[in-house]
Formats: sequence, structure tokens, C-alpha cells
Amino acid sequence: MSSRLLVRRLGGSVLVVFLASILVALMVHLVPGDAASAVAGENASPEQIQSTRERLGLDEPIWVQYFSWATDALRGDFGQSLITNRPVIEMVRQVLPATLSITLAASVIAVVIGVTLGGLAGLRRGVTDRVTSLGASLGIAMPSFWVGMLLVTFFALEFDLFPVLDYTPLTEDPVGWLHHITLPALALGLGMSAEVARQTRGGVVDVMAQPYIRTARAKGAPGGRLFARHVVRNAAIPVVTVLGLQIGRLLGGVIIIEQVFAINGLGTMAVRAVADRDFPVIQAYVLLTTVIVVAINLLVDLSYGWINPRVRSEE
Amino acid sequence: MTISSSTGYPRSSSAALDEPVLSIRELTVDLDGADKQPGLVEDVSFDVHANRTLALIGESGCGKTMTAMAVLGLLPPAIHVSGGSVRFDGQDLLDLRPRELRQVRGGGIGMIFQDPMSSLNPTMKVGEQIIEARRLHVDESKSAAAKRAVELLDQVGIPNAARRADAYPFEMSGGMQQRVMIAMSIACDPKVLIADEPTTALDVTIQAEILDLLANLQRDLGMAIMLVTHDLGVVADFADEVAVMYAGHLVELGPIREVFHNPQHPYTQGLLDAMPQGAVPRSQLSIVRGRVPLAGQFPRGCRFRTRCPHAREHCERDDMATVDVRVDHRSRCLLVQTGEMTLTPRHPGGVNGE
Repeated sequence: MSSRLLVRRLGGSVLVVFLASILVALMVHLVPGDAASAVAGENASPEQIQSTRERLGLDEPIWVQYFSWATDALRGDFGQSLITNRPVIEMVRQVLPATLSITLAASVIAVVIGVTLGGLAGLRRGVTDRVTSLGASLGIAMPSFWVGMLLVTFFALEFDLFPVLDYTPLTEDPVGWLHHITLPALALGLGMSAEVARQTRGGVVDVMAQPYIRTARAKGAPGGRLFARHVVRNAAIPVVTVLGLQIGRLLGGVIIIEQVFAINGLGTMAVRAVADRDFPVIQAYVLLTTVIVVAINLLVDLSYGWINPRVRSEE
Repeated sequence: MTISSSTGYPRSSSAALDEPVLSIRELTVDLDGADKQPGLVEDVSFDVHANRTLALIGESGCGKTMTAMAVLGLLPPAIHVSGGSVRFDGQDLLDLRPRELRQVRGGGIGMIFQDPMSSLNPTMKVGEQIIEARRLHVDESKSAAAKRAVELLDQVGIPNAARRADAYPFEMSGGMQQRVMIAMSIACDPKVLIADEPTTALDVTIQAEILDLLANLQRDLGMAIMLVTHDLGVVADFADEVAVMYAGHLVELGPIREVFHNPQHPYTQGLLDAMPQGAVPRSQLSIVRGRVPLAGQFPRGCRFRTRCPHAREHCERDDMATVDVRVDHRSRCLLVQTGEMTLTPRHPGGVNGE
């Protein structure tokens, strides 16, 4: 029952990653004109273009190219950067912690703020509701880079509470780490928290109007118990869905935030790679983001089963 | 024929021996902020007795469910009780603090609803839901409550009760779900069971089973049942007394046979005439013309007068009340009260197998 669902969902995820990997591997060929000359640059001589072609294996049949790229990628080998000549995986390893820290912290902020405010708004209605709805609309409307700039202006420059730029690894200095990621995570998470708050509010309002809530009241359940045992679980599904979608979007948003706060993260790496036509790096970046998004979707799907017994029993 | 004042509710001779368990007086329910509008429920009074069933009937939108919900303070947001009293267990339920009211809900008064599927929490096992009902009122261990839950499921006729306690609502049929609702509502041995259209969402064959179950439980537990329904067939089979509601007013109240055989309000008569019975093929069914006016558009005076074939000018009078027109039998029709009109007894048949 439950394990079959797991296997099916897992199979689906593997399939998506596989299809994405084909696109990623053959991405070089999507560039207009000749891939090798594009990679080699505008001023390359014919010999340089030819050597680039051989180095990238572009003269091999396409399926051979894919197979060798994919087996390497499975081993974590994405080749070397065309610009720095460093192994791509090493570059990724260097920048990933900063990006993951900010994204995860942003998600936590979004969940805590969004669920709390949305839940209160849905339960209390009235003034709380209107204030939250207004705040949520603002939060959604404000671009995260602008929020980031505001945060920097006030909390970093004006009050000097947080550092303006850069990143400190968690392993080196936990306090410094927290200090450095707070503002970027807030900038990134506030918009998402608005989205989560809206969804939570909607879910709670919906559930509160359900007949089974009246039943629970008719049984004599007090408010707190009503919320904990009857509302939360039933209202969770749309919230989890939105969370999944939003975390996917965060990976895009974090690129901008990294620019605003001058953090050397995955996004910065990707932007630089695109500008430099550093294909191996772009490939690694796209595949990694795909895997993360697919994994989050998988988790969301599986959580449906955990939240709603009906999904669990469906074939 | 006696005409008594609207406030002095006379105790009927047959009911003189037993005090009512639940006593509703001049209940009025309003929409928030609608001071000028006529009440959604206005001046409704009736009693419910132990071991007996009172059926609250009328078309959709007549305020039956509002009346039932008002008893336990379960009215939807934006609707509130603005007058009257609901006496139960020596207290007025309308005066209770939230904490005290919660003791009554599911404790002294149980409640079941129309659609069992949506009335059960879809993410909780049915056993857990009964355990919750039990533990909210009785101080007992979880395992004791779980044991009691299985007994209750067994009592309401669910086969393999111990195993079914672990099922989720969606894994059961509608009839079984309603049995679960009933088990939950009687978990704490209530004195009153309010059943709001308990069979409306069910198949006809299942309806009969659920009514049988309720009748058996009433016999075994001695509880009073307040049955809200629009199904006159259900009323005929099951109720001891009938309260007929129209557009928020109680228009007629009396023992089932009295009301069915000798209705004293044109609306009741119209309802009964519209009931297919006698099964004469190709005969015309009579109907009550028109519709129940929307809340907020109720006419002044007698609210039925816009559809009543007998309506006269003074039916607009504001000081009308539901009063005794015969022993144990109350009507809100001015014409009947003053003797201007006499409604003749209907031919017996169809009711209680006569």
C-alpha cells in the first residue's frame, strides 16, 4: 500500500531526473551555430575550435556523448571548468553550503511566520485577518532584492546590527554564520512567508467551515484541541503544496539575493558561468537544481500520504 | 377551544406527569446587524421529553436546523440568538459560559448531522473520534475509552467493531458512518439526542435501519430525541410529537396523530396533502404553491399568508402567537384561533399504519 506508492513516486522522480539529464548533457548542442566554436570563443582559430571539439567529445555520436557524460556525472565528475580549469564538483562543493544555508533558513522563516500569521488570520478573522492579508499582499508584491536592499539599509548600515556582505561557514563560526545569513534569508523568506500565510489562512478558513469541525464542537472540544486535532492536519495539504512550489522558486530567488549581499554561492557561480559560457559548470548547476526540486516534490507527494490517510490507501 | 397567552405555555394533560428534559421558550435567532429584519427564527417554544421523540419539520429554509443549532450554541458565524431560553438540567443553556456549555455539548446533549461523511474528521480513525468524545467528558484512561469505543460501535450495530475502530471514515459506507456518528453522540449517555436530518443523505433502505437503531437506542437509554427532518414519512414512523415550522415561526405543535389527522394550520394541511399516499395511480398530487420566502423577506404577521389559500387581510396582524386550539395542540393560525375557519379532519391512513 504505502510502500507501493513510495516506489511509484520514486520511479517517477528518477525518470524526471533522467530526462532532464539528457537535456543538460546535450545542452551544448542547443547553442545556435557550432557548439565548439561557441565554447571556444569569438576569436578562436580553427585549430583551437577543433581541439575544443575533441576535448568536449563533440565529435562523438550523441548517445556516446550522453553516456560518457552521465556515467561521469553519476560519479560526481562534471569535468573541469573551461575558465578556471578546476574540477566543477569542487567549485560546487565550495559554494553550495552558503546557498543551502540561506535557502533553508528562508524556508524556516517562511514556515514559522506564514503558518503562525495565516493560522491566526484564519481562526480569528476580523482585524488580525485584514492586517495579515494586507501584509501578505505587500510581501508578495515586494521584490526580494528590494526587501534585501531595505534590510541592508536599515539593519546593516543604519543600526549596524548585521554584516552587509559575505558569508561565514557554519563549521567555522556558528554565530557568525547566523549573523551573515539572517538578512539574506529574511529578504528571501518574507515573500515566501506571505504566500504561505495566504495559503494557511485559506486552508484554515476552509476547514473551519467543514461539518466535522461542527461535529468536534458538538462533542465539546475546546478551541485549542479543536485546532490541534481537527484543523491542522486537514488544512496542511494546500500549505505543503505551496511550500514545495515556493522552495523550488527560492532556488531562483537566491541567485538575486546572492548578488545583493555579495555572497559567493551557487547562484553567483551560475551567473558567472552563463556569462563565461562555462558549459560544464552550467550543466552541473542545472542538474543539481533539478535534483533538488524533484526531491522536494517527492517529499511533498509523500507527505500527502502521511497527512491524509485517503491518499495513502489509493493505488 | 382555549386561547392562552403566548407566554403562559400550558402543560398538556398527558405530559403533566413527566417534566420535559429540554424546554425551548420564545427562542429568537437573528442575523448579525439585521435589527430591522424579521428574525430567522422567532418566538419558537416547545418541549422535548425523555423517552419520546419530537420531530421538527418544515421545508428547507424554515429555520429547523437553526433552532437545533441554537440549542448547543452551534450557530454559524454572523447568526446569533437574540432572545428566549433553552432550559436543560436546571440551567438556561443560552446563559452558560463557553466552558460550561462545552460540558453539555456531547455530555448531556448529543448531536448527529445530515451528512455523516463530511461530519466525521477524514484524517482520524473512527475509534479515535469516539475515544475523543468520551474523554472530553469522562475522566478515564485512553485504554478504557478505547474499550468503551468498541462497545459503542458494537451497540450501534457495526460488525467486527474492534477491527472497524481502526478504520478511517472513507473506508466505510454512508450507513456505517452514520452509525459511527450515533455511537459518538451517545458516548457519554446523553439525556437528549439532537438529530439533524440524520437519514437525508442515506439510501432509503439504510434510512429505515438508522431509524430503527435510533428507536432501539431510545428504548434502551431512555433519551429524548429531537429529530429535525423534512421527510414526513420519517416523522410518521418515528415521532411522538410534531413541531411544524414555517419561515422561522412555529406554526403548529401537537401529538403526531393529532397533527396528522386533524391539522390546525393551513401550512401543515398543505404539507400533508402534498404527501403521496393511498397510492392511487395517475391521481394528482397536490402541492403547496410558491416557495418559502428568503430570510429577510418574511412577510409581517402570519408568514405563510403569502402562500395561504385562506389568507385574509388581518392575517397581517403583528400580535399573533402560537396558542392552544385544542387540548395538547397548538396553532399559529389566526383564522383557526378565532374560529373564522375550521379545518376538517383528514381521512385517516398512512400514519402509524392506521
